[in-house]
Amino acid sequence: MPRLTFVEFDGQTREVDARLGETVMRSARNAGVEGIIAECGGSMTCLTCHCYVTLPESGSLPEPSANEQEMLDCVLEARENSRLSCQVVVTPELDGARFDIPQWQG
Amino acid sequence: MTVLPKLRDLEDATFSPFMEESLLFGAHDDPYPFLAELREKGPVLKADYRTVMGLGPDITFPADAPHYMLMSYEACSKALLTPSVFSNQSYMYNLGACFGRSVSTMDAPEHGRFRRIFQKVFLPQYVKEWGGSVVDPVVNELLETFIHEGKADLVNQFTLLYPFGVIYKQLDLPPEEGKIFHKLAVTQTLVSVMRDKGVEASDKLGEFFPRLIAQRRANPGDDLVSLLVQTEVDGEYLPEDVLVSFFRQLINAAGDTTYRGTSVLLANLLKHPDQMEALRQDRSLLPNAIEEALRFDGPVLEQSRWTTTDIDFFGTHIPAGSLIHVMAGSANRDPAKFDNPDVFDIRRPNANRHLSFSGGPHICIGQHLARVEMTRAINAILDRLPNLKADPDMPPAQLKGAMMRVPHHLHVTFDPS
Ligand code: HEM
Ligand code: FES
Repeated sequence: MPRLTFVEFDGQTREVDARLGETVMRSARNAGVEGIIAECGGSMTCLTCHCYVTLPESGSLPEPSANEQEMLDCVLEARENSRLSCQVVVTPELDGARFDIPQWQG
Repeated sequence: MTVLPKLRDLEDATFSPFMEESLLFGAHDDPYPFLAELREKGPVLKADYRTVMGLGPDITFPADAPHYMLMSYEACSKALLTPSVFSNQSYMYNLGACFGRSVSTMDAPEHGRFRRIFQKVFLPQYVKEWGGSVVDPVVNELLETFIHEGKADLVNQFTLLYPFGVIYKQLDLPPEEGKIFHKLAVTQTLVSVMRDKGVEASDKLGEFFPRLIAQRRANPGDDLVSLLVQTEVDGEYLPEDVLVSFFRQLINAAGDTTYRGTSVLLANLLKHPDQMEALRQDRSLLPNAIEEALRFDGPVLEQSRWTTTDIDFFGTHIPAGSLIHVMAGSANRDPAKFDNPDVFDIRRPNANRHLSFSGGPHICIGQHLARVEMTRAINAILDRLPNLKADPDMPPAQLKGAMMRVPHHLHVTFDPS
């Protein structure tokens, strides 16, 4: 199981062993990561699953789809490494990735 | 240039839908203690919310369908996030009857197809621009009608007017058409209790909007109608009937809710002058204050759903074809989710976890706009009405309603300017 690290805005850190094929959003929600709100349940309509992804050297992650990119252009506090966690699927290449959660979701 | 089409008023032009609202929404002072009592009985109850509140049933629903109320935060949230079982077909009966092919009545995959086109226009980035270009002028114009007087009824002179002013400006309707539009839009929702009036109003809006759409297609401007007719995703445009029902729905979905939400926030700030003062001093508290008002007394107490299959849900067997009342108003006061849920606290850490904008794929498309409108309105009020207080010579604000909540007056005093 790939191990993911979630860092809440207040610095609280949680390591989660995520199931392959699950979305990062669901792995976070199941583990009780509060800052991933995911109001729309992964329909890509709410922007409240936003996080900043840092991959380990060996890791990789597919580029966002055109739809996700369009949504990412609209999140509050967007950064270069912004992603919607409901659109990121857990793969072996994600092992060791770190997800920082912004102060404001939406 | 093509001319703007005319809206036709109701045959009985004296009919005021605003008087009939209590039939639809109830006039209860405080439904929350009763909701708490029900919630203690269990997360799922076999009951019809309208009936338990002593309101007439919704005559558009199939009379033989069983009704269930979801009371706990967990049950409500779970149902909203399980749309394959808890479908939005429930709205075909009432909203479908007055608005037509509205996104609220659709399920996947049809819903997502249209929703992502509408959504494009309502994302935070675009909405922020409306804050300056549309919301601020409407807010300031209204405040200027009374800031020299030193007293006002903030409901009748402000909150009841500004979200509708925003809509007329967004649609680029002349203000006199706006009034008839507002009346027809409210009348159509009475379809659940006064069928003929509702249908008449719905028909009249239904003849107006296709003409307005045609006019804007011919002369596009920067208004919402022009914008929506031109918006596409992957080459797909919105069909006319879906657009028309969206505009029909706008007064209620956008205007009525924002009027209520803003009034609830102001009522609670007036009731807690210490919190109002803290907010006046530190505006970074405003986003959370808005969330707390929506949690504490969210204007929409329930969403409805329709079960597509049998399901065992939190210990209760719910058969397919049941009408589900997702009681957001109860979830928002569930002590399992919110500490001291009956306390209004603008600093509450998890206030934004309320279900007042619903959840799942139908989560409010206008939530970012609603927040921008409320932010602009409250900031302008705090900036321009110094020393704002509840008027001690008038009765204190009283929220009313069981389905939708609002205070009918907010009498205030302030330093005139
Ligand atoms: C404080 C203000 C508002 C509140 C409390 C509110 C509440 C809600 C709720 C509870 C729903 C979901 C109903 C369901 O689950 O079936 C909803 C949906 C919707 N709202 Fe809002 N709303 C507000 C403002 C707005 C505004 C400003 C707009 C303007 C565009 C808007 C447009 C819509 C639309 C079109 C839907 C249907 C979405 C869909 O079914 O996919 N709302 N709103
Ligand atoms: S969960 Fe709503 S956009 Fe990701």
